[in-house]
Amino acid sequence: MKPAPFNYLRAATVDEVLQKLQEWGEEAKVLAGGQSLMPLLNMRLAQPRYIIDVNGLAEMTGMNWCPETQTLTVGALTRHRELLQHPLIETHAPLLREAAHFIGHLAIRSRGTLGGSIAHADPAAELPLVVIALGGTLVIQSLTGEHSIPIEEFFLGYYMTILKPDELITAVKIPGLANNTGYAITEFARRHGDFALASAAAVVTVDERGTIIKARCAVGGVAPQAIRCPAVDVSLSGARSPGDFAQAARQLENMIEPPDDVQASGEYRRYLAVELMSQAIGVAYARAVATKEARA
Amino acid sequence: MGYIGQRMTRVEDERLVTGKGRYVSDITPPGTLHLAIVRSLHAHAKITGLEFEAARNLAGVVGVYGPKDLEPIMRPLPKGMPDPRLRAQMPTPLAIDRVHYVGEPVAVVVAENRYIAEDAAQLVEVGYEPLLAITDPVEGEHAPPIHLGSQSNLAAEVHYMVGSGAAALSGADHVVEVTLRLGRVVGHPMEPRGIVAIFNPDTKSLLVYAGTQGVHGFRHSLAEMLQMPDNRIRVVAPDTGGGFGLKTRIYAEDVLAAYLAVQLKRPIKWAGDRREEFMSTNQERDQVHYAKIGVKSSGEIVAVVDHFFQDQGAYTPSGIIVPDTTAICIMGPYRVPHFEAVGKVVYTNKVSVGPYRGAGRPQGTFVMERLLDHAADALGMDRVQIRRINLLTPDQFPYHNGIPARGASMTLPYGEYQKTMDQVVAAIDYDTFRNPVQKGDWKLGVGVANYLEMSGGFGFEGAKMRLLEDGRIEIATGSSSQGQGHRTAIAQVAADRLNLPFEQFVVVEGDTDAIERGIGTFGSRTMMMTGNATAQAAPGFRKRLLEYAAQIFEAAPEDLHWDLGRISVTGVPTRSLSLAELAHHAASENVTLEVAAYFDAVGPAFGMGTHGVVVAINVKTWAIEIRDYRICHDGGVLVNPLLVEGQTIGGTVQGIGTALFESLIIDPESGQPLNATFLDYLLPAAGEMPDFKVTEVEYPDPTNPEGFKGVAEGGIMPPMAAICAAVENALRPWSIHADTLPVTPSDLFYQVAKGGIQ
Amino acid sequence: MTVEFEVNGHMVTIDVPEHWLLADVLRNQMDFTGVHLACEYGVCGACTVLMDGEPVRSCLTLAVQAAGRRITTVEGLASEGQLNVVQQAFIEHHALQCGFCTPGFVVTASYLVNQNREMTREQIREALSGNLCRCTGYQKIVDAVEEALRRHQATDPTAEDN
Repeated sequence: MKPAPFNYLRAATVDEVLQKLQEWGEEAKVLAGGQSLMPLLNMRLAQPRYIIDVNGLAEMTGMNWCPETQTLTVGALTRHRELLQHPLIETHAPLLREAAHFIGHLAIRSRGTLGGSIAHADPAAELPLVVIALGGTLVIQSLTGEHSIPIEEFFLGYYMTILKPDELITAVKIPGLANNTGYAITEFARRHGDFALASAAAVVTVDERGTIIKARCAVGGVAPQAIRCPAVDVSLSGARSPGDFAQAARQLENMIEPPDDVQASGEYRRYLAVELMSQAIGVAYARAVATKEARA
Repeated sequence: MGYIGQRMTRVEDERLVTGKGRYVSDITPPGTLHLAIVRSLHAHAKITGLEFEAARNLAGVVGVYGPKDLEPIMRPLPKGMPDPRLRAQMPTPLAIDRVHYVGEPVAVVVAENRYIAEDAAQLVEVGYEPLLAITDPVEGEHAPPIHLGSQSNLAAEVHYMVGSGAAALSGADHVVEVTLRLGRVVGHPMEPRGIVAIFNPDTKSLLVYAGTQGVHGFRHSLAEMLQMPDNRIRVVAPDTGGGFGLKTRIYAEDVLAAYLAVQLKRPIKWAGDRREEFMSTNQERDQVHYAKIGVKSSGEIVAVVDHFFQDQGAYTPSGIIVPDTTAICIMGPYRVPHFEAVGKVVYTNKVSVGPYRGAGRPQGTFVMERLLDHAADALGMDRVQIRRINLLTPDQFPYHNGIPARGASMTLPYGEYQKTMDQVVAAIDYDTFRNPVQKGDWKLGVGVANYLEMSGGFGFEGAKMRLLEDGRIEIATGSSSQGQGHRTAIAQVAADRLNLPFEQFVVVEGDTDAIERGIGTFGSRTMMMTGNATAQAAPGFRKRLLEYAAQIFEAAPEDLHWDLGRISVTGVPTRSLSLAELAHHAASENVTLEVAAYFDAVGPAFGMGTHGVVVAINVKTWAIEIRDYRICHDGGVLVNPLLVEGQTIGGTVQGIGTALFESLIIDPESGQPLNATFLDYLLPAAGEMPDFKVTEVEYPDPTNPEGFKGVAEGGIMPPMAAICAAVENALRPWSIHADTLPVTPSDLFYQVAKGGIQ
Repeated sequence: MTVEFEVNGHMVTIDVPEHWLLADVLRNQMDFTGVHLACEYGVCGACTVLMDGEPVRSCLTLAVQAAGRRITTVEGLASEGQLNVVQQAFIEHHALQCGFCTPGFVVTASYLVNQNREMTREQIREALSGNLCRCTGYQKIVDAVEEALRRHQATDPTAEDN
């Protein structure tokens, strides 16, 4: 199980990457953490002619918090391990830290990257899920310039995205959590580190009386891509009890139709998604109430 | 010296923890060429064409070969374990005209390295005309035969009857019928199979490194395929990364590599990868049982009857050992006056079935233990109580269970089975958990299963002791290790029987040059066989050394004194020789001080044991967790309890794999495996496994002088039944059945959803 | 492509095809055959090495990506024939049988020990969940790592007190 031959370029700048992407187009693959691409290469399921290694690009690492816009910009090359440890993540996007806990294993988290995980577009991956719930946007560059798009517009289905062959995700922008806001991710996997059979993320904001006034929910592993759940969000308006949360989560039943696979039946995955969503909302709600009370 | 019974750490380990182990794939002699195998993409197809040109033209490719290019070896591989009941089918090293499973070798590439070999394999074009794939043994029995020229897909029927068999069911107060399914399990030693073959054109001899469980049998099979005399082939099994029965026989790739080494006069290496392990190494379990138990109202067993199907896959590399062992292990440690088992072995378009740890023992145990649980439920009786009623009692031994063995009945020696079970019942706190306990979203339940581990009992094995020049003693045996720790355990036996320090011994295994004859490591036989051979060789070896020393001292051997590695003339302490001095002397006179003993099996050993498990099931997600696990196990006289514990726990975790995680799913239409990677074929991992508490009881085996029993398969026998029982117990309000393995959260959800919450 | 990197304390310069895996180059070009390949898609952990002190899958790393990095394989853990605390504990606790997965476990566990954090058995199990073993059933591996952590903290002055 060895990769087929390819030409390897260790890129020095984002500009160089963009030039080569434009030149080589679909014949090139960007190699970041490699925890998804390398298995595909080893299994020869992907046989690109060119590999562009972006690991050396300082421009795509690091993160910063902009107090004016209340936005955390996270470099696309940020490793999962950094998500677990970085104080800015801890302060402004702790949901990313919680999500990173679920990803693979120690050695996977040493290498895997935020941008890589999003670009790979595995429907069961945790980071796309929570970035959706957080309302994040992706910074995408090509030779023609830079633009940002909301992450929920990025995915097109199993391992498919709107990213054009000449484009590169360079950063992810995460809005800071509003006041009185709580967050959670829940998932169910057969073993530690496996891709989840289903996962759910919720970010909810409560008013002074502890009633949900705003929610952003997302589910993973139960559709061709991680998806937002607007029907759940709407249904959560005014919610404040576990019964309310469960009822809101049941909105998912009409939204998703996961297929059967070797691990589980589709029916079970749909059931799980509802259950996990209900639990995620519950945890997020409790946290929202706790922050509210801490502020009071 | 008292080494037997000590928890000694292993002499094997220092090399292995520092990365200095030497496995087959680590061996690359200068000039080595590498193989890649082109494998069938179809489960069943005619091969309509093979096109090698593009592959042959690739730089670094030495050759690409199809069956026509390798005609001298295009004969069926030697039949493993021939059996008059079996219409055997063996593959040729490359498929000729037809393929019978996804992964069957169709062509072979030889190249300068594995990368290029894989590049070239990808360029080989194979034309296929797909044929109907047979993927179900029950339907498959009467489907068009998959093998040309055969009448039917029924490879064999195993049939055992004790007492009046099925007819006796009419005398029962209750008859309970159960359908049991066991998933297709892939053994997956961590080291994939591999071989390095080196031909010496001057001596016309072959040196082969292969991670085989039996070097002598491997050599014989290879010699037969290459039409070379055995003595011109040396087979060495270096460090071997697990075997579990899968590495007992020769495979197609072994023959291809060895033959090409001879033809090309270059070392040839095939280092199989995990994908190949999924698609070409023998698999196991994959049975469906239609079983019945007849009981009296008292709970006493009247009869057990089982009709089962073994999905055999495409060939019979190890005969029908798996279904046969399944049938004879069903009765287990219980008194079953009437018994009948009929097993149909059916060819299908899947990877062949061959022994994987237990080789039928776990299946038989699963059938009996599940039957007892269902019978107890039907009678409204406690599940442990029905076992207590039917377990053999000390006054019933020796017990002849009626299964024919060596012209008589299989005989179980003494054991205190109820005591063993009761110990686990108490340790697992059965009385607390038998009435389901709920903690938050978790429901807890308990399961108990017994087993009778049948080990060893066939063939012979040798131990050859030789005094080395440095005064240490080499013990060579034909039974090689794949992680069991023989080098430590055998030295413990030798040290005790020769009354010498443990450090004095060097055990050599896995080399046809080290000892003339051998059978190998399977069926948990090595301590029984080599252990006894070692003990038997000891007096003769001591005698030989004393006689030789007597010559030197010009004394009578009976006047010599043997004390911790010094031989002295009794009463004359100045006249003494250390073993090193003796060895030196022998070397100077060109004398080899060597004695071999071969131990012949009288019959298998039987050790009874019990597993008890508490599982917790989350009624929101249907997650299944193991919360407590207790084991009581009879390993006879234990040579090294530390290693026994390792075998027991390791086997149990493999059993948990079969119970909860592992199953290779084959698409019923196409015959394609759907989860042939470690990403979705789930091996048990550290995070989900519990800590086990193991206690040992020691009932020495009467059939061998040392009282040893095999201990490597007991662990894997009862976890499936114990876990299924615990799952049912935890979910008792829903009356679900855990009769299909693996038991998964998805299945529990489905059963509860269909059954409704009561 | 010619790359230069450090392996087990020695600088090496080596010419490798660009698509070759670090695992293969360590094994075949440099004879660090303690790096084992058992799945080649990053699940089993047998090929785990430290790159700049962090555990990575050498089957998911190209050899050319090692350029300028510091690689430690299982062969580099014992110093001057002195087993490290993890290796010692593995032997004492019978934490290996066939030994094929062992280098990956030992490398991962050595990283954990160097982290100097106290870990519960459950945390150890989680941290080892990316390494598959088919022989031991894991319990004795967890025992060994627990023991190694204990001993390291008892002897290392930089260990945290908590």
